[in-house]
Amino acid sequence: MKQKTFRNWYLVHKWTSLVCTAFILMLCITGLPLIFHHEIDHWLGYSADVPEVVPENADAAAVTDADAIVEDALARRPGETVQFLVADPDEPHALYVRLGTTVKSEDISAFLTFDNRTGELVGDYPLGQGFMNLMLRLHVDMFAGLLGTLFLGFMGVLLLASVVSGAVVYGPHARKSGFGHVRRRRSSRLRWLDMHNLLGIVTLVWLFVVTATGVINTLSIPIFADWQATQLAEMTAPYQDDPPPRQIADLDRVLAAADRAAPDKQLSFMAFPGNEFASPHHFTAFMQGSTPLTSRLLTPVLIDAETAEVTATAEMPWTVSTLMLSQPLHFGDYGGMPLKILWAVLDLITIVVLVTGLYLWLQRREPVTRTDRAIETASGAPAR
Amino acid sequence: MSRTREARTVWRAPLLLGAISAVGLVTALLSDSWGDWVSWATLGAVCAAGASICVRGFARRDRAAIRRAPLDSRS
Repeated sequence: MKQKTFRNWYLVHKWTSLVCTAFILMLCITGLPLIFHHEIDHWLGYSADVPEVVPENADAAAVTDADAIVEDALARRPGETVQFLVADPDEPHALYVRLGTTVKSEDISAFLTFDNRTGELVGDYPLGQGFMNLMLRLHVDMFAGLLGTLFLGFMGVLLLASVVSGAVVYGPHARKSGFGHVRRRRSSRLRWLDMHNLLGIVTLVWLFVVTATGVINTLSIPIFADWQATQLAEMTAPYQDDPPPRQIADLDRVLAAADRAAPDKQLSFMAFPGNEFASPHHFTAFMQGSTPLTSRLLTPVLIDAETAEVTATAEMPWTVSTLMLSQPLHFGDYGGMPLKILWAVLDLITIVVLVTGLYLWLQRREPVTRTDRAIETASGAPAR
Repeated sequence: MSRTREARTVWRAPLLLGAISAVGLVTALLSDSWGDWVSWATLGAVCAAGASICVRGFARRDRAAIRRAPLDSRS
């Protein structure tokens, strides 16, 4: 590589890294507990699993339906309204009810967990408080809403540029020092340089994938807004001049209709009429497949709120499917506890890469001994 | 050393680690049984490589060796 080309790539690496390092460091630190959010929530007592076995003293006749669960939720939270019913294939006996002050308000007022066999309330997730909420908000938007999310997405784009340029400048370095060699006996700067280069190249593909999927996740609000404005608007267009439904059909009939429309799929979540994911005249049941891959893809089924008849089904556009497939690759939650632990280790290694990179930059103007200078010149360390 | 041979020496290990990382990231998405195991093994190998570099990097410097051979480009 020509020296000028190398220098240009090095400048791209230096400046993209410098701009984003503080934010990426924050994302790595806040992301660490978020990898284990399910376990930490349980440990803190924020959420509870539905019991595997129905308690013996439960009244067999009390086996209840979705309507009874929603009725119970509304009775517990007077003045609020149900926005979504949520299911989880990993928790087949749980049904979650998300409530808000209005059916389309962005803020959640309650997230209740029910046992779908007994109708018992199992958990009431404490919203907007505690350590995990702080980690999540810092990680998602730094308490700055959509603008904060998009800003972090831009920092992710800079990190992608830094990763690519870092790989390019790694080559000349490796020609001098070889792979896997950390020069510990020399100046501490050389040691950190070797660690930075080696750890960076070892974690390159993982970091690139986690960053790229993180950037895609920052676009989730615009992506769903686009879906609402295009496909959903098209599917609900024939109903836009109809009067609001006089009465809402039984939820069990609505859920059964969704099952019939997508027989090889199961419910992921269902938006209630008036919600932005549905229409004033429809429920939208989002059905998911049962294989590891198809469970990430959603099929929306529109169901008439009054008659419980299916009026339309569709496949989500590629933008939504890409978003859904990018989520596990960012969260690391798709291979059990061992994968979560590996994700955490790779996250910690990334923190070392960031800190060593920062150290190398901070040390750039410190007086160095002639010995250090001679070693760096001889070993191809980048110019300061 | 020819350019091709040099490039092969420089990029062999990074390309191998990149390839097994990609395999590990994808297989767990495809299967909850063999896919998870392949994912744990491959990403585990990447973590082991990173951990071994950290161990060597964080180990104490041999100051006596610095005095002995200050201009040797490799320790």
